[in-house]
Amino acid sequence: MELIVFAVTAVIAIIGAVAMVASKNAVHSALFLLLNFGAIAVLYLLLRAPFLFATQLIIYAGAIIVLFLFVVMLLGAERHEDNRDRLAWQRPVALVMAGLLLAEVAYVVVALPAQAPVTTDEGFGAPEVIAEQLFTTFLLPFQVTAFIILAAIVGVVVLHMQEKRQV
Amino acid sequence: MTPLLQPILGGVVPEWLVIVLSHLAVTALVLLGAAVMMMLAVWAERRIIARMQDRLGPNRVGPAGLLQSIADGVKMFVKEDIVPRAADRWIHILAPIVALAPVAMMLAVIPWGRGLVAVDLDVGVLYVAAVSSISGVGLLMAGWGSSNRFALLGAMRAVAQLVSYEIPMIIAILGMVLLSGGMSLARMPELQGGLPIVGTTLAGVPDLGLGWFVFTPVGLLGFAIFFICVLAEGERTPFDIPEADSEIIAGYMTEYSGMKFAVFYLAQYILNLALAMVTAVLFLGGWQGPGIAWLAANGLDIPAAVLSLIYMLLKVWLLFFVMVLLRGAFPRLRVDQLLSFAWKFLLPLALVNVGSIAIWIALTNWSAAQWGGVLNLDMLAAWQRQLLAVAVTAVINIAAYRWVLAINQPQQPETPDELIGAAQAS
Repeated sequence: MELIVFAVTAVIAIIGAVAMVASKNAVHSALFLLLNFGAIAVLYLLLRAPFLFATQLIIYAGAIIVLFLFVVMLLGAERHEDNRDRLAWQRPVALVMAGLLLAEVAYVVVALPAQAPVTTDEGFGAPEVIAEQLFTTFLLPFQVTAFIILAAIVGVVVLHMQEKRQV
Repeated sequence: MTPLLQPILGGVVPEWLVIVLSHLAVTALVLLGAAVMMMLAVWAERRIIARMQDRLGPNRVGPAGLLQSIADGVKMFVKEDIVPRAADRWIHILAPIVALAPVAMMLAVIPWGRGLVAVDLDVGVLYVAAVSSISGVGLLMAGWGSSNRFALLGAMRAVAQLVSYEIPMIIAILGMVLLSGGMSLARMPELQGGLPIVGTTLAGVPDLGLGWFVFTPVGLLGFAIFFICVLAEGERTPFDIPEADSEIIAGYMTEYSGMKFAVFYLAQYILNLALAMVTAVLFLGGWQGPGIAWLAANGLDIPAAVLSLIYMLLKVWLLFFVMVLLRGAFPRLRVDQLLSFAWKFLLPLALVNVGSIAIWIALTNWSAAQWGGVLNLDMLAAWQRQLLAVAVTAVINIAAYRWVLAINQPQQPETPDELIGAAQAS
């Protein structure tokens, strides 16, 4: 049963990812990305981590995709994409990096011994466990992230105030 | 549901099929209940608004017009399915579905009564917020896919509104999560038993099921913030800017007709009802009420479940009635008023409320060792500590409310009266 759900979800995730890259229209790309994010959220649910499922949906599907769509629609940028590449070195570098990533995945699959599923206990990905990790082991990265976000918020306010003064 | 079906079907069909069937039955029940409530809600809203505007409202189909929604449904169903030529066909068609599906999924974690919850997710509150945030994508798809400027404008307004009101809403929820010590929606009502204000802290008093969070200062402020945000999320009237019919026709729904329009309509009413249910569960005790604890203690589980379902539905319909009254009583806000209200008024209050909930928890739960010698409340009884917490948080919240109100006083005259007053003064 779980295997069937996993297979269906994985296929949907891959279709979403491939279609996102292949699609010519930026809005379609964003929507396929949403499909991919949704499928990955379901994969978290299969790992019995509903907290990660909800976080994935709220941050990626709810916030980031809506932001993408909003910006693309506001600028009307969905069709004006230039086919010529401004940065000539970008495409080969991207191909090389994708190849490296693929090789890494292949190495993990082939060389490392098969392990038991990551999760068996109920507490995996529970909010309490994640909170404890965040506020003890990973306190410094957590605080650094918080400061970066705070800096971004302050930046937005400053930019907005300058705009107002000119008008 | 599985133990209910097991003895009936156990010998006939295999085990896994019984489980699948029981889940399907629960899903069908929840969705059917939601659809019936939606039809009643449409009828009730039209009748109440008509009464407020000195009209009759729909009263021809069925007794008192009760079947009007079914007649409307039939009409929608036989309408031609139109897709504008310039529209992006698939996005246009998928948009209503993307708007409805998350809203329907919200119903899964809501406890309808004592022991009547489809899925008891331990992060139920977060799930509701997560799923409801996706329906914004459906609105954007509708607005963009229709290739209509009014539709796009409406979608932009809708999403700006949803995103800004989600923040005070989630912070208000966060306070309740702190207060209850968990994110399960199904557990929320269980914590709201006892008497008003003192809750279950007073020993030897019958459990009247009235210790709702709304009777505490922190809960009251949280309820006010959350309910205002619910009105905005559900696009109810003071905040129905996304579909302001006198400005932008019907917003993102402009190009929709027939069944696709009906699906949007359904999504909106189910969203309103589901959010009213979440409000009731978080702040108004959900299915709690006098008599349920007594019934459950005497082993009458089924009567307790029925009574709790009745209490829950009463609260939900009361909240829906308030929504309709507000629609009849208030004009629409401007976009800038809407946004500054969320960011300059609701958000600071919500943040202060989270702070006072933290103080509440410290005052009611912490031992002298946890206070680190600053304060020792160990000699007080539980109900005394509860009353102390009520007093302290009430002072904080009232002060915060008055302060936020004072700093938000408009600098320039806005209403006609103010303008005349300013002109006379100068």
